[in-house]
Amino acid sequence: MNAQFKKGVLDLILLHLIRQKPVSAYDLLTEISKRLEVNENTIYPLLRRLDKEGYLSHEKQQGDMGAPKKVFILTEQGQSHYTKLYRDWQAFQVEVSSILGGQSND
Amino acid sequence: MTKTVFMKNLKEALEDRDFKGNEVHEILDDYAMMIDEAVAGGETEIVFIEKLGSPKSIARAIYKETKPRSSSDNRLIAISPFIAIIIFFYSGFAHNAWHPAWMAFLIIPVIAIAIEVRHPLEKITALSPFIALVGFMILGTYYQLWHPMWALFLIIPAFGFFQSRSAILRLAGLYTLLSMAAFIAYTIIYDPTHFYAFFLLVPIPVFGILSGQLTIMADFSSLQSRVLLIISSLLLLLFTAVYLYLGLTHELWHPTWLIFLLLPLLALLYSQFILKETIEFVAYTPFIAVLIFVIWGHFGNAYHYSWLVFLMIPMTAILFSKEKVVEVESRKTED
Repeated sequence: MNAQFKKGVLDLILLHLIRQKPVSAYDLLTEISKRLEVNENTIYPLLRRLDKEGYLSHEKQQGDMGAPKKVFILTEQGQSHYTKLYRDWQAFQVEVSSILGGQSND
Repeated sequence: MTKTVFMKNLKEALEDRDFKGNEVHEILDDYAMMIDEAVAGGETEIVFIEKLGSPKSIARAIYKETKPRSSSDNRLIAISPFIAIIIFFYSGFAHNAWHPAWMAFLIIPVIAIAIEVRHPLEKITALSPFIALVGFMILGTYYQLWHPMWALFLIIPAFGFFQSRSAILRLAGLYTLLSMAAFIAYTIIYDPTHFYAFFLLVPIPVFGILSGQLTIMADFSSLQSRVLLIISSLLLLLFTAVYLYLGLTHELWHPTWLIFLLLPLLALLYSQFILKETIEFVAYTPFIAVLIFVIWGHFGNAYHYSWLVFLMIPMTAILFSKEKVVEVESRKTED
């Protein structure tokens, strides 16, 4: 996938995954790299920015394997930002699909 | 790289990027936990650390993401080529000083570096080649001091030494600056043909190897590295000998200094064709442009035309940028 496409939607993907349940940077990295080819040092800087911007908060938890881990949680501000990004993304998809004649999966 | 080494290097890389103490601790904690989590999940520590990338690239990525440039900085960078062109043409037409007014074009990278690099020591290190070049050109052109002012370029390794965390290497930086000053003073005051002062500079390459600035040359691990060490040392000696010979016997300090541009060019060729690293063509263009510009300008007395060759740098960047190629290719595929 084109790097610019990915960069644009990674915020949305991260917020979406964190919205489902609090997750660590490692979990996110593992989950996203299963489906998308992402550079390992892309995810953490994005999480840090989203955290600084107030869209995420974090806390330490005991991991399943015993090691402590820092998990990220979506804040209220993050929820509204996610909703806005998601709507923008849907609208964008609809417009692109209509331009491509409804063959966006080709 | 082990976790301990990785954490130490990451700490240094973050401090070099001017991250504050609490930010550094937080990021280090995060990475330590990430590595522990990966190991607890069954990954190998060294393999996972390798996947994370180099500490420097991590610090750069965090810096870019969390401390973006302001729009006024972007405007200043965008306007810098116009400022350079105005200075160049004014100096050229009004004072017939096409040379050394061409150095106005150095404003473009200088402004970008001054804005991009925040850490004061890192900033002055990144700017040191420009400071040395400007000093060398002005003192050479107007006072015919090509020799010994070529020694000004020693401020580049000197600031490199200052960046080290080792007190000994910082002292080496101080020694480099003082020996450079003593060499210049001795040569100007006494006799430029006296070579005793050269002995003052002899320890500097040794400091270079100790500090890791000459990493490739200090790598004796394979036959290829040893051959490279011999070839690069011989080339450096050859270039220095040619430079000193033509300078001292024919007063050709300028433009013979251009010969030293062959070293970074050869290093780029080596990285691309021997080490198989990805080097974009645009990386070669500043060196090629300076070579053509000075040779054409000096021998053809055409500095007022030869500056045009610098346009090859942005033109090459536009034509050969990987991103553009991907876009064009994906468009072709869709067609």
